[in-house]
Parts: sequence; structure tokens; C-alpha cells
Amino acid sequence: MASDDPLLPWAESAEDDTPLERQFSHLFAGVPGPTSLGDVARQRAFVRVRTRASRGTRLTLVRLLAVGVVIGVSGAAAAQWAAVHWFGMQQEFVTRSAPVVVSTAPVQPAAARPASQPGTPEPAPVDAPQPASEPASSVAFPALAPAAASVSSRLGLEAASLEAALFALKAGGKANASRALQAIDQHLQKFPGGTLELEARVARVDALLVLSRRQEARRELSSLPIEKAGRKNELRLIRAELRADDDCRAALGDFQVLVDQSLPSAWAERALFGRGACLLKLGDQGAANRDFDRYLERFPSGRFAAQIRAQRR
Amino acid sequence: MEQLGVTASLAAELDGKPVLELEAIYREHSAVVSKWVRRLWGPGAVGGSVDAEDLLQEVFLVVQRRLGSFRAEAALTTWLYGVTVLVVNARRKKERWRRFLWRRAEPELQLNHDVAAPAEKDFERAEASQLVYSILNELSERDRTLLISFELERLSGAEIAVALGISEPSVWVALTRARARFKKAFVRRYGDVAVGEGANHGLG
Repeated sequence: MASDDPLLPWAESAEDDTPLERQFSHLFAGVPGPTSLGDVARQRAFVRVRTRASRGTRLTLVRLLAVGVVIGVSGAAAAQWAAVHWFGMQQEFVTRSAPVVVSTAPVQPAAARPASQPGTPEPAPVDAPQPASEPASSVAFPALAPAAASVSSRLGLEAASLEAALFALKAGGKANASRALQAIDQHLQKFPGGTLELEARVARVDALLVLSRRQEARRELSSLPIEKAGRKNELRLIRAELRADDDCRAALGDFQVLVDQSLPSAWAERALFGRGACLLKLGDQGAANRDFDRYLERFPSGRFAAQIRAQRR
Repeated sequence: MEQLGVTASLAAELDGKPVLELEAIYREHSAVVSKWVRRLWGPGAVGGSVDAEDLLQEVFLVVQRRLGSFRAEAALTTWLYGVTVLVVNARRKKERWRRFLWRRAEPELQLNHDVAAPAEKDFERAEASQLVYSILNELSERDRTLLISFELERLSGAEIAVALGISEPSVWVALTRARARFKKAFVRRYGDVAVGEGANHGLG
């Protein structure tokens, strides 16, 4: 203790202290000094210091490892959730918009219409594309998709914007398709070169077909990178049928690709009939007849069977 | 604290700079550091969960790590005392969390087998120790450390200032407040009555 310290320890306090302080003086003076560790124990501790073999070191390593595993598993789970969330949402656009074309705008190839050339065997016209039955009233656009409303990222905004258009398109009817088309055009202007641009342009084709604007749909399809789209076979079939209006040579390539593939029967039927009709239009009656024979063999009660039989009579 | 101020014997001259060797420090100071460990931790019984040997090892692991940054501006023993305070307080904090998380009993510093149980004549002193530490343990870690350093270890204000890394005037202010809180805790527990002398200490 330095002699000029302003305080003295209670154990050394003077007689004029309060009773409580005198009590403390007695207590603190009575606290025994601790004993030191024995030589053996201190030697043991020093060996551990030197070798750094701390008893707790292994436990600490195990804890760090456990924390690392927990962080890793949590990170992987979060990443998986994010992947499923985002990819799942994008996949939903594709699968949701798919029925729009199939149900509302089956494209009638020009070759399937009454032939303009006298003497040429004419396949009976396929069912005229029927727009979806008009709903009683047009649907209101959702302000924002609930899942995407809170997403502030560009992708989130894009998704929300496009989903509003797809919602209207899915509702069916020309009025809704028109609103959807307007929304899609706004979307494409708002997000040029966006992540969902391809999906938006495919949806635009769907809307144009519902509105029977075939030439515009054809132009849109011609500039689309169909191979990158999720519905590439369906889009190729639609493009072929649209091209068949006045360019059967171009359409034939698409039909050929489709016929060579293993497609769902509805698409295979349209592709086979379309190729036959185009071949007939181009004057290759033999090849056309082979396609029609094949069609009747495979789809004896198909939607174009009656037309083919009538054309042959 | 009779060991404070001893530094010269530990400095070996090499290239004109004093070089401190861990082994020499350990040889000369491990005994007193083990006493500090027990002083700062408080009284315990054999079979407790915290091992004084472990704490001594922890202190010297820190010393080994920080030895390069030690400057002879302060006595080596003061610096060692500061390291011991840090290690013991860190372990106490850890033990508090463990007790909170696992609802474990208060850990007691394990005495080694070479330390005999207090004889009957030391019973009063042991009881005084239990009483003082039971009040100290109610205080904050800072107050507890200050009071142990000043009242029990009898360090000077300057030594406490260096060991705890605060200014000397702050030490006196903090000590005064810590004493007041100690009194308050004592009165709250035992009332404002003089504790009788002798083995009972008014606890009965």
C-alpha cells in the first residue's frame, strides 16, 4: 500500500470508523490468504502450457466444428429454399400459361382450309380456332402477386408485373386477352432485356392468338428463340401452322422436326396432318398421301380423319 | 502483495533488449499466480467443477501469447495480476452462462489434494471468507475485482490502476462506490447490526 493512498483497506482501518466498518475490518482481516498450488500441479500445468494441450482445446475444436456444420446445413437449406422458391415461381408461369394456347387458340394451318387450287385434293378444314368462351365480365388485374409484392429486387418486380398479365390471360376471353396484351407490352417496355422477357413474349404470342391476330403472332414467333423456351415443341407447332398460311416450305421444316419426335398425341396428330397438308399444297401428292395414310392408321378417329377421307373420295 | 515490483531477475539481455522467457516467469511467479487465481475466484471445496490448475494454465497461455507485447513500463507482477484478473473474470462469466443454460450449481474452485481441509482452529477464518465472498459475489465483476484487489490482496491504487488499465483517480472513485455497494448488500442481507465476533458472525 502506498502511504498517500486516500483510502485504507478495511482490515487496516482506524478506530474512528463506524461500527459497520469496524465489523468489515474484522471480517476482512479474518479472510485467510489463499494457498498456492503444489509443485506437482504447477509442473503439470506448465507442461500443458508448453504443449498447448489445453484440456479445453479439443472441446473448443469440436464446438467450432459443430457450429460450422450447423451454419453449413442452415446455409444449404436456405439456398435450397431460395432455389425452390424462385425457380418454382418461374416454372409456375410456364405451366400456368401453357393451357391458354392449347385451349383457346389451336392454330389452323392454311393447308387445312379449303384449297384454292381447283383439282387439288383438299383436306377437310379443321375446326376453326374457337376463342375461349367470353367470361361474363373481364377480370380485374391483381395489383401485385402476394408472393412477389414484398420482393424489391428487379426480378421480383418483373415477376409481379408479368404475373398480373398472365392472370388476365388465364381468365380467358378476348377482352381479358386484350388487357393481358396491353399489360405484356407495358411489361416489355418497362423491363427491356429482362430476365423474364422470353416468358413475356411467349405470353404475348398466346394473347395474340386468342385475339386471332395471326400475322402478329407469327412475326413474334419468328423472332423468338424457341429453343430456349420451355414450350419449344408447342411453339414450334404453332409457328409451323402459322407459316403454313402462305409459306409451306418454311412450315415444312418445323413439321418435319416435330413428326420425327415423340410428341404427345394431340401435337403429333396436328404435326402429321400439317406436314401432309403442306406437302399436298406443294404438289407432292405421293408424300402427302403417305402422311395421310399414316395419320389414318394412327388416328383413325382423329380430328382430321373425316377431312382426309372426304378429300380422297 | 509481496511479489509486485519484481522484474529485474526475469529480464535477460539479448541485443540490448530485455527478453522474458516464459519458463523463467513461470518458475518464479506460478505459485503467486495460483494464489491470485484462488483469491479472485473465491473459496471453494474439493470436488468443485473449476480446476485451479486449469485456470493457472489459462493464465500462462495468455501470458505466452502476449509476452511479446509486454513493456517494462509496469512491473511484471502487476501485468501478470492483470492477466489473471482477465482470465478469472472470463471464466466466471462463462460459468455464469453455463449455470444459466444448464442450471448448474455454483462452481467451486477445485483445491488440490496437497491442500488440507481447514483445521478446526481455522474454521472462523473460513467462515469469514465465505461471508465476505458471498457478499462480493452479489456485486458486479468490476466492484468485486476492485474490492478483492484492494481489501484482500492489499494492492495500492497505482497497482490496481495498472492491472485493470484505468487511471488511479478512477480507481479511488470506483473503490468508494464499490465499498458503498458492498455495505448496501451486506445491510440488505444481515441488517444494519453489528455482526457478532466469533464463529457465528451473526448468521445464526
